[in-house]
Amino acid sequence: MDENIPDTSEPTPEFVQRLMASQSAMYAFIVSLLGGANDADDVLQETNMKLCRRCSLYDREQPFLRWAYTFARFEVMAYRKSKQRSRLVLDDELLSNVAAELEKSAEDADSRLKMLERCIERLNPRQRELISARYGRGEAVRDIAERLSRPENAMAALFYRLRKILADCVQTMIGKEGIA
Amino acid sequence: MKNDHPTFEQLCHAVLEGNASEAELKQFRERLHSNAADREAYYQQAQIHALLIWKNGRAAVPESLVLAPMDYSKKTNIIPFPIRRALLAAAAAVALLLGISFWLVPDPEHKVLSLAIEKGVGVEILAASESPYKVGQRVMLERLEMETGSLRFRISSGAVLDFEGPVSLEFVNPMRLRLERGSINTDVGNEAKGFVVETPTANVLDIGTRFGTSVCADGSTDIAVFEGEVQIYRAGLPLTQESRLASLIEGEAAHMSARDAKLERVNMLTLKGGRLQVRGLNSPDSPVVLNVSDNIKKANFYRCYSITPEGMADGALASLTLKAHLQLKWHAMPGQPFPEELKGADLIGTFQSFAKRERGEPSKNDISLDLSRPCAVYVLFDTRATPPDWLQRDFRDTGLRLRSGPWGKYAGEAIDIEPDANGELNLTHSVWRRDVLSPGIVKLGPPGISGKGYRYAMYGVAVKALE
Repeated sequence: MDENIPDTSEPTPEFVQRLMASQSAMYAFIVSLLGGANDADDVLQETNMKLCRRCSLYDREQPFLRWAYTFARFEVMAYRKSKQRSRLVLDDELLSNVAAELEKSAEDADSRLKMLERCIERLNPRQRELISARYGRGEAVRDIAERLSRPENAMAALFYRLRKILADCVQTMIGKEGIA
Repeated sequence: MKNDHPTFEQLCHAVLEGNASEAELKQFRERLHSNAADREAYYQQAQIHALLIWKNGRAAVPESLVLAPMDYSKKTNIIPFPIRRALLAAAAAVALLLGISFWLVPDPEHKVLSLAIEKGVGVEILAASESPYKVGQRVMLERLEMETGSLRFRISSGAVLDFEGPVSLEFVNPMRLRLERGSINTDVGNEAKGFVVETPTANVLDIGTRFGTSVCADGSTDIAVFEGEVQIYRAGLPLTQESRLASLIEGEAAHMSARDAKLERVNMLTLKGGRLQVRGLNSPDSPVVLNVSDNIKKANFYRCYSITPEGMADGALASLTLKAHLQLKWHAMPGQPFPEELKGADLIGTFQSFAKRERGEPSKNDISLDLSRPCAVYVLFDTRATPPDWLQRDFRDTGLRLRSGPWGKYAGEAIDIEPDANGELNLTHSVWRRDVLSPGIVKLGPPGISGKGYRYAMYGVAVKALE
C-alpha cells in the first residue's frame, strides 16, 4: 500500500460491483474500529479511493472483503494518527483485537444487511418504531426518552437490548442459511 | 446519564452514541481488556449500530444499487444536475462528500472506465415524461427541480414518489424529504414506514401509507391520505407528542396555513390521473366546478371530496375512501359500453360518512356545488335505496346505470349483495340528471329518506358543461 506505487489501471465493472456490495460491511468494520460513527463516512471514502487506486493488486480469486478490510484498517489507523490520539475509543491493542475478530467473519459480513432487514421485520411494532425513530428519523435517544416519558438510562438499556436481539437474530439466520 | 458505576450496557451505548466522557471511555477500555464477553458484546453492538445507520441513512449505495452503465459524455443536455455539479466540483469536493457511491461511466469510443463520486440519496427512476431522467436510470440526488414533466422514482429506503412539475424538493436522507414547492405523492409500502415529508409549514410522518403533499405558492401545505395513516407535526420542531397536530387516515385531507400555522379540513382537492395536484400551481381548472363543500361542522373531521376534472370514464376513482382496503371505481354495466353522456364529466368523489345518522337522527348534511357555467349535474344513486324527495323533485332518472365496486365483503353497504361472475361485489347506481342553466350554488341533500337509517352506498356526483 505504498502511496508512491504508480497504478494507472482502472477498476473493472466486476471490481466496482464487489466494492459496492461490500460498502455496508466496510462501514460497519470502520465504525467498530473507530468506536462510533463519527467520521466513519470520511474514512470509508478514503478507503474506497485507495481501493480503486490499488485495484490492480486485487486477486479476484480471493475474498474481496477481507482484502478491503486491510485497507480500511490502514485508513482507520491513519485517521487516528491525524487525531493525535485525542478521545480515541480503542487503544492500539484493542483495535488490533477487534479488527482480527471482525476479519474472521468477513465472509458473511456483506450478507448481514439483508439479514438485518429481515430481522427488523420480526420485531414487534413498538420495537420497530423505536428503531425507526432513532435510526430512521435520526431522533436522539434523549429526545425519544423524553417523548415517551422514560428515563434516559432505561431507554439506553432498551436500545442496547434491541441491538442484541437483532445481532442474535442475524447470527441465527446466517447460521441457518449456511452463509458463514 | 452519568453515574459512578455505569453498567457495560450504559458504557457501550454512550460510546456508540458518541457522548461518553473521558472517564467512561477509560472504564470502557478496561472492560474490553479484561472481559472477552464484553468484547464480543461490543462487536455485536457496533456492527448492528453501524448497519442500522447504513440501512436508514446510507442504504442508497451498496446492495440495492446495481450499477447501470451510462454514457453521460454523449448526452450533455440531459446530464442530471447532481452529476453535472459533481463534475464541476471536481476533486476538491470529493473529500467532503458524505454519501459515497461509484458510478460507472463507460465511453464506448475509448473503452475506458472512469469513476465519479457522488453524494445525495440514491433513487431509481421508474417512470418519466419530459424529464432529464430515463426509466431504469439510477442517480444520486440532493435536490430536484422540474418545471414541467412528470417523474416516478424509488428512493433507496423503498419509498416510491411521483409528481408532476413544477416541483422543488431536497433529499435530506433516504427517509426524509423536504418539499419546497409543488405536489408529490408518496407510497412508503412496508419498507419505509417512518418516512417524513417536510414542508415550510408541517412535517408529515408516514406510518405505512400512500399520501399526497402539496406546497402552495404561499408556503401553506395540503395533505391528503389515500391509504393508511399519517401524522402531522408542526414544522421546525422535533416529532414529539407536543408538536403533533393530527392524525389523518385514508380519505382525509387537511390544510396547514402559512399565516397562522393552523390545521384545517380541506373540503375539496383536485386529482389528475390519481395524483394530488396543487391548488393554484398545477391544478387543472375544472370547466364547471369551482368548489365543493358541505355543512358538516365537527371537530377533527377531515373527510374530503375529490374532483377529477374531465375524469369520468370506465374505471374512474369513485371515492378517496377505501372499502375494506379496496379502491372503489365506476364501471359500465356488464356487457354494456360506458355511457357516452357521462364520459369526460368532472367527477366528484364523495364519502360514506356523509350519509351517517348523527345521534340517532337522520343525516341533515348537504353538499354545495359552486358552478361556473350552465351544466348538467348527475347524481349516481344506489338503486336499492328509495330516492329522497330532493332527488325525485329536482332531477330526472336518465335510465342509465353504472356500477360501483369492487366492495369489500365486510363493507356494510354491500353486505346483502351477491358476488358477480368474477366473484366481485358491485353495486348498481341509477343516473339522475339536472340541467342547471345559470352559474351559482347547487345543493344536494342527504341520500336517505327522513327518519330512516341508511345502509346503502353514498351517491356519486358528476358535472358536465352544457353544450
